[in-house]
Amino acid sequence: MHGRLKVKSTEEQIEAKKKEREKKLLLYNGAMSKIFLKKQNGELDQEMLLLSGEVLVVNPDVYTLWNFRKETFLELSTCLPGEQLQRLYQSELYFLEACLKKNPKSYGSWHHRCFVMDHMPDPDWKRELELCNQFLQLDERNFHCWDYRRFVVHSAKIPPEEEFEFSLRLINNNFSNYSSWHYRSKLLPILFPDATQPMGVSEDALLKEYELVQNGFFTDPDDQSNWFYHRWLMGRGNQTLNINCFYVSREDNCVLVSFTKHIQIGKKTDLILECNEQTMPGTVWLNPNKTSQSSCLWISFYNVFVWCNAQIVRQISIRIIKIIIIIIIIMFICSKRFCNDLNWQYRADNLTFPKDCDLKVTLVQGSLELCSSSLHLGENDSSLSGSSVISMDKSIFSQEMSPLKKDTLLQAMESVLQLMEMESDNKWTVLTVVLLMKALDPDSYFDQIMCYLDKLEDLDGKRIHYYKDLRSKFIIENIFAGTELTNASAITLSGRSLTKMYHTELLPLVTSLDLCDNLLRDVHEFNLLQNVKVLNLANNKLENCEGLQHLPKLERLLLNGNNLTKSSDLLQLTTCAKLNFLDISNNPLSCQEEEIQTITALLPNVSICFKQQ
Amino acid sequence: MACEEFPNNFDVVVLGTGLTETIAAAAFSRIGLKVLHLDRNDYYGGAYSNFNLDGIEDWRKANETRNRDCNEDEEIPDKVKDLLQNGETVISLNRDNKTAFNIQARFHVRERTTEEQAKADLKFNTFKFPSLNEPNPTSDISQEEEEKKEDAEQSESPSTDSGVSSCTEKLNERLSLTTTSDNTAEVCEIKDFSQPEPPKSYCEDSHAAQVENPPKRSEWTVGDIKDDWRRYCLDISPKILYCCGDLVDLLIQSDVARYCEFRSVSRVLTVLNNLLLQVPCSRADVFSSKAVSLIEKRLMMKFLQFAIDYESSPQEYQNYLDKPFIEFLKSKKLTPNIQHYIQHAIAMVTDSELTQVGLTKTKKFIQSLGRYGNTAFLFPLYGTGELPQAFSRLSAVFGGIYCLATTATHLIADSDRKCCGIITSKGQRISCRYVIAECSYLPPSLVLKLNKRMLSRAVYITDNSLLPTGDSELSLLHYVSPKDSEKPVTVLELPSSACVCPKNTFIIHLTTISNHNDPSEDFNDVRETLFANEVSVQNEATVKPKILWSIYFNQEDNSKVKLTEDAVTNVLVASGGGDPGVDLDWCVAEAKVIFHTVCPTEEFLPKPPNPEDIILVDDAEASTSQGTSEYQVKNEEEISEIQETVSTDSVQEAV
Repeated sequence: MHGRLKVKSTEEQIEAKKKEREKKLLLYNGAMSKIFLKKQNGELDQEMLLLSGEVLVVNPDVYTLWNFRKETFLELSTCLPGEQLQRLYQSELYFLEACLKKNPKSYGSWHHRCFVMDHMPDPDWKRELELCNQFLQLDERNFHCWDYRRFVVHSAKIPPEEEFEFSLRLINNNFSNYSSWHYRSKLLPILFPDATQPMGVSEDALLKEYELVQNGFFTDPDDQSNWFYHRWLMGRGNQTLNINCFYVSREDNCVLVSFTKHIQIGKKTDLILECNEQTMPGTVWLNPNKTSQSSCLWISFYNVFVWCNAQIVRQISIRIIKIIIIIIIIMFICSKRFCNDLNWQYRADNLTFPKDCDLKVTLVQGSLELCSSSLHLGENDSSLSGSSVISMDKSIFSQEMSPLKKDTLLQAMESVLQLMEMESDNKWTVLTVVLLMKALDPDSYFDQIMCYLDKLEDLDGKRIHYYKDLRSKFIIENIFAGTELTNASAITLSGRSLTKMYHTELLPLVTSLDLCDNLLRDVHEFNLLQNVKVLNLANNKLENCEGLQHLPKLERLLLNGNNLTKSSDLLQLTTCAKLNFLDISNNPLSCQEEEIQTITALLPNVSICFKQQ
Repeated sequence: MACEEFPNNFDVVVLGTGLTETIAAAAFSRIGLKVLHLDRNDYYGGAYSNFNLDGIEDWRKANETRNRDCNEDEEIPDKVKDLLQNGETVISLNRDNKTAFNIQARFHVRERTTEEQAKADLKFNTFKFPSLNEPNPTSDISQEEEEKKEDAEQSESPSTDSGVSSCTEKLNERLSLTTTSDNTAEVCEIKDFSQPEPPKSYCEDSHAAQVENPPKRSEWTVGDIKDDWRRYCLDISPKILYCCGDLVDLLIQSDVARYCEFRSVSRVLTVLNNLLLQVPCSRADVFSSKAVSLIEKRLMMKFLQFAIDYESSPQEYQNYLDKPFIEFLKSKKLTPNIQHYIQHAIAMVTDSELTQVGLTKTKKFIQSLGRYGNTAFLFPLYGTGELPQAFSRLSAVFGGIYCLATTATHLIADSDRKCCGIITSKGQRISCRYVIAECSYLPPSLVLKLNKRMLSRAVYITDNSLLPTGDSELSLLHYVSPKDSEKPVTVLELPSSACVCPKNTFIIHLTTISNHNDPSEDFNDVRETLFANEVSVQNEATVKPKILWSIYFNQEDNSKVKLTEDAVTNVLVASGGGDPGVDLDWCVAEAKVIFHTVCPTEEFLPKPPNPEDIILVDDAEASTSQGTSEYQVKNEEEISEIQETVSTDSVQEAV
């Protein structure tokens, strides 16, 4: 019977496949060795393109071959006439399309396309944009293609309006496309600039975006891209940079400056200390960890070498300065280590203030003055503090949320509350309500916020610690908002189930902090408490003391009832010079004789309580 | 067909090339049964066929001359008697049967003036147009088909219409998932992509009387439409496919999808408060729709999410199982808008239909969303009539023999009243084990028609869309007349990108259950609401589409049929189309039943083997013991002939 069909058996199929693979491998290896041979001989010609092309179309991820091709193109562009070159580049683009079809996420292919477009005599950007459109239609979150699109948009000078329109089209197609939402967040400040707004985007534009994204979370409240964009719109109003606290101590001969934001002093920005309108020479600023990494709190140190040099500079030639600078650097490094060891004990001898003086700190960036604070230190003042933050009212905490007007926030909350009525078990809805309440009136909504946070812990067990930390933050902010922090010397936050301590940057002057009977798991940023003498951390969940280093005034530290297991957990305490009492009873380590001995040796000048009396 | 005579022996003879019959024929051929497939018409598809503008005129004329019933009592001619063996009897079959009635077709525009005609002739003659100036009404269908495919190929390069390309691409992607990478396909894809010229759309190719980018006409004449007669594909039974329905699954599973192309239905419309608007049905629609409020968005999404898995929360609907769906919707506190969308546009049920039906249909709709586009449906390019042809092609690839314009005049029954063969209209006796016949082929005494009703159909050529947007939209509208909510009208609007009409025209299909003697009366209401009034066209400053040409007819609902008790055995009946529903999934079910009745243990249209893995067994080796008869030699030539005409490419694949 003619035309009857017989299907190959599976063994035959396997065998055929195996043979096929072997054949392919042989070809592949052959081509590769030929290419490398040509490269060795410096033969960067059309044949090179042909050979590498054959390999790349099968496996576009061999970056070396892409580089060979680039070299070949550069070589050929010196000898080929423009028209021919254009045609060569054109065919390279077609070839790249074949490779991208094989693997749309190959770095090599996309990068090479950038190269081709950059070097082509007459690039057709419109076609490239169309290519991006097609690839983004196939995979709307292909970040390689998004990157390439930005390159094309930049090179072709596509107006941002068109791109904004494009992002809307993608979102209308599928709003679960965070790439596209994010693109909008980058375009908004360009299209609707408004310098008076914290995000640099005019309020009208933000409101329109708000309406758009609202459609998204009403349609699908479980989709997170809408909520993230919503949150971006509602807030993260940039905290303005300012000086929280400017503290001068004649007693310690030191200056503390605490800022509202983390900054780094040294590279582009500088903090200048003036005394009676004269710059104090030799002032070095370090953060509480004695490094120059980003921090909220900066402490003045006086460097004897710098001071000396300042005198000499005027007299000797530049050549010597250079040498000296090198020496300074070496010395500084040495002194840093040296001083670390000595715990900067010597600084008190050097930085001295006149009996009656006007002091001023100014944060500058180049010639731009960012913020400043000044105070008058009288003859009898042993220490004094000032602040350039006008009032310590609630706004310091609610600034994190929205730059939008209050009635906009109210409207937003109303609609999210409506959604919550229908979707009471949706975590994003509840979380957004919490954040909006916090922004609107943290005080009167406090009980409700706590209630919703409980609910969130139930709904979303995997993020339970996130919600607990959020709760801690709100509790602390609520307490701090009602306290005059600048003059407070003792703060009590005991027994409030705090899992994390926040806003220690606001407490540089506090001398006594009581955090006992909480659930703290760490003490990060506690070394911002530069004036603390008594620190009660009893009955928490601490496992180490990372953050308690370099507290110059710390005398009494209560760590009883925590989860400290080994002596090395206490290593940081050796840097606290004035520590004289430590309670570490009721910790796993206090039952181990060996650990007790190590600790005693580690802290020889401290009276340590190992067992509860 | 060049065949004089068929082989004398087949496993299955199939009469009629409607969708059910062709699916069944493909399934039989696929497992190696010998299939002879006949159709009395000179075109494929029977009630599922489609025609160009000239073709439908021939169809109309043919239907007028046909008889309502066959003459069963006709005396058996001696020629037939001579072919019978001992104890055998014959049953006369319908040779000619009328399935469409009251056909009225007319143009609604004026004739060309003499000057206009002269101008058009000039344009027409500047193009070389061999042999087509005189269209041959009985021209070979395959030739026409080839032309169509040519057109298709031209329109296939990256089309401006994203719907078409992405959709076919996805289907193919799915298909190629399990097959090893097909190099040839890739190469041509690359070539496509790298084509620097702007993409051509279907209607821009070099064709007579078509200037590039024809201007939008303010006034049409009969001549304007007639010039493009070949570009119309008018379906007798226009249908769409649920993206997750049985038919789509079958098309993928059986690889028949490679023989056709699809475009997704791009929007679902509804008439709400006398206003025609787009229904938000997918997630993206609900998101961007301005017609629904924020709260409604949530309510609607919530209901749809419930509906997609309604079985798992029976407490929600149990009390409404024996009540209408609309009451259940009311109980869910949905707003009237949302109720309307769900009932009329998504579930497409009437006020009296029960909750269970509504939920099942809603679920099917929702499940189908997002597979190939933003709505739940696909439409075959060139019309629904392509589907039976695609399945026929698969059958032919696997050895099925096709012959049009040929039918069986008699069934042969043996002494046990078991069917054992047929006599063809050419007077040949063919033995077979089973006969599958579309119901109109069997005499009325053997068939019970369970749906005793008629459909009314209308097909319009219009100058505009019902609801024009910038894009080329393919729309579905479930129109509920305020006068009779139990007889809704299904409206399917097809743009030129569906390859059924020239640019700047639209084909609008209307289907409803017949209520009047005159089919056009059934559409009075919908015509007044949606289309421009013919008399006062000039006065109305409306964008409603004008009807340029129309055809009305009635169709018998032959979708539910069964054989009477006294029928012979080994004859199976297939429905003859004419159901008012939008989809064809029931045909798959019907074909499956037919197939499993004949072959209870065989797999129904399994995935075909890789073309590379197919070995054609040569006859000389395979059947030496039998010896090659005269017929077999003929047969060989014939098959290759058929295969060439039906599918040159698939034969290549097979070889």
